[in-house]
Amino acid sequence: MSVLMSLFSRKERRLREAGWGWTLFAGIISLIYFFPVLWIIMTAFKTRADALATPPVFFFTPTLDNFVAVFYRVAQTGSGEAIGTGMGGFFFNSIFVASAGVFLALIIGTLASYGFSRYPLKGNDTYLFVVLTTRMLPPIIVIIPIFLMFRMAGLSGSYIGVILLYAAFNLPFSIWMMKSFFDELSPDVEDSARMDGSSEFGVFFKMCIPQLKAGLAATAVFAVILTWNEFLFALLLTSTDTRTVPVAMARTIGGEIGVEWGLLAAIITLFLIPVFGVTYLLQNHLLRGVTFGTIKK
Amino acid sequence: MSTIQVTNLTKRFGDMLAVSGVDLDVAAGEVLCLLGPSGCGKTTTLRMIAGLETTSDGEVRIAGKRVNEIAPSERDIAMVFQFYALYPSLTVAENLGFPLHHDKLPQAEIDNLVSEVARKLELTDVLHRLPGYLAEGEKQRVAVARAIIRDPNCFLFDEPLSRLDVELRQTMRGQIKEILDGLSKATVIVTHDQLEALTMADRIAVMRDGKIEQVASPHDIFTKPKNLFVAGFIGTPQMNLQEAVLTGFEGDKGTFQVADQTVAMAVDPAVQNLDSGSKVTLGIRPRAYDIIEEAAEDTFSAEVDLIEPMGAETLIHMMESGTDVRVVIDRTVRLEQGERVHMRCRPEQAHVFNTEGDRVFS
Repeated sequence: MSVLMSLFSRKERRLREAGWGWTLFAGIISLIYFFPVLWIIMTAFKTRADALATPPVFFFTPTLDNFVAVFYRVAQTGSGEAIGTGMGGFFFNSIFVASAGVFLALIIGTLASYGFSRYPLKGNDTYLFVVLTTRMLPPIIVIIPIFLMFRMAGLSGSYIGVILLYAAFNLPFSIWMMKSFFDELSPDVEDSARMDGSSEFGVFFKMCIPQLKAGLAATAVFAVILTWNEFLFALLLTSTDTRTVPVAMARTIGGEIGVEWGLLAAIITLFLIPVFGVTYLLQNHLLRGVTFGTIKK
Repeated sequence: MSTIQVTNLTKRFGDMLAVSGVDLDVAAGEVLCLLGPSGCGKTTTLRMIAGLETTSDGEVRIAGKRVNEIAPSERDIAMVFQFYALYPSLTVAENLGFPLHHDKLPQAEIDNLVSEVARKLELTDVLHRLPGYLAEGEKQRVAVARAIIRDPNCFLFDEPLSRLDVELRQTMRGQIKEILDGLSKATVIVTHDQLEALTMADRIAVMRDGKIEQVASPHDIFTKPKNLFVAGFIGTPQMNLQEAVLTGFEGDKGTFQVADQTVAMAVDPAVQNLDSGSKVTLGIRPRAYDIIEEAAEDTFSAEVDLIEPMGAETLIHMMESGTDVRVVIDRTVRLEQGERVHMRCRPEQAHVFNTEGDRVFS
């Protein structure tokens, strides 16, 4: 008991710095959260037998077979020759569509939120609310009209269609988030730049944007995660050529020989890498940029 | 000539009249302080001069030229903002050089000017730093340096010292004054700190509710306040303002009924034009009283209620028939709480305000 007490004791450390006890406690909680991800990653390295073993195994001989199977499968007819699964293309689609969609949403969203923040319309809040209402409906409700519109506009199955849709899908959230960052900036800096001879474009690009790197990073991270995992729109609006990974992944679930857990886990593991990477890269930026420079309120 | 003229300047925000018919005239080399409580419209006035706010009515002339329709950058004005408004993503050197890019100067000349102004304001060591890594005083100096570097026609300062601590404020006050003295430009400083206004300004314009109450030299604003608002606003501790009734006038002395005491005091001769029995407000500064031993016809007596030592001087709060009278005396004078004292106002230090709140003077 005294050992436990000392773990949580407040003596001999700086105020507000967590002791080992709390750190351990937080560690256990995070492990519970992280466990499903960890399990998937482990499964990706398991053989089919290990993956389905009861009780589940924690120690096993890792194999890369699943990862190979993501990209190549043995032809069912003929001489066991390896044929591509097209998964590489789907990964490209996912990366391309998500980055283009998020990029577009960020550009439009940042410009729009600058307008909302600095040149408010009469009834500004109403407009902002209206912008958000488009995201209040569950996607399944709007998917049919969107599907029909895309069919008629000839956008169905094309890159441009999905990119536009993802941009629109991220826009409300980008506008709201970026507006809050613009509201934090001191308009004095912009006024000062105006007096010093900056054009309105100069004010926006030279003064506001550099101050908002952190805000842009945060918005981008959330938008990327949302878009990366989007399934429903992608399912209905992409063709074989433009199919994204979540859709392709879902197809492997319904195989003739049951769910190939190892294969699925391998796809997910690969699928996690880009989004992990983006978050990790931008996270540094996020933390660094939070102190907004000279203006104190 | 570097001058600022403002005529009938008015700003309405919807139904709210923020600035109403302001007239100002700032000569070359003159420092005018706009002084007033928060929300009196002084910053709005400054922003209209700068061109950052449109005018609802009236005219702004800079160097004799009407500038109402001209963009801020073309008005040839430099402004120092309250929170400095340094460009956070640019280094100090880039901050200083920024206004020069507009004038399309060659980079070599920009560098020269930057290092020159940096030397003047002791910023040479921090030129490569970002504003976020500067001390408050340095930020302030960068803001001032960025304003003077372009050699503009006029300067505008919005609460330039409000963010500095007391010691730094004194140093900066001197430094800014010195710099402005050497430049002979028209300068407008907005402040709510009367000490700042009194020390830095050649003239002070006291504002209230969007209107200018009085424009005068610091000395005149202090000694000849135009009305009750100015009288009460300028000076610390605040001027004693007591309700009184004029009961007569003899020689140069008026007799007043103040809280059931009758006091005869030397006041402005114009006071004799008031009807006997008219209600007035007597304004006497806390430092205008002498404590004396004996009661006389020109003394007012009151009971010591609270003693506040302020270092060199002591502030005494006296109570008499429910009114608080503040008197500042030398620290060597010892008074006890509850003691009854007599005080006499020094000649020409008693101001009489009529029922409209205007000072009666000839």
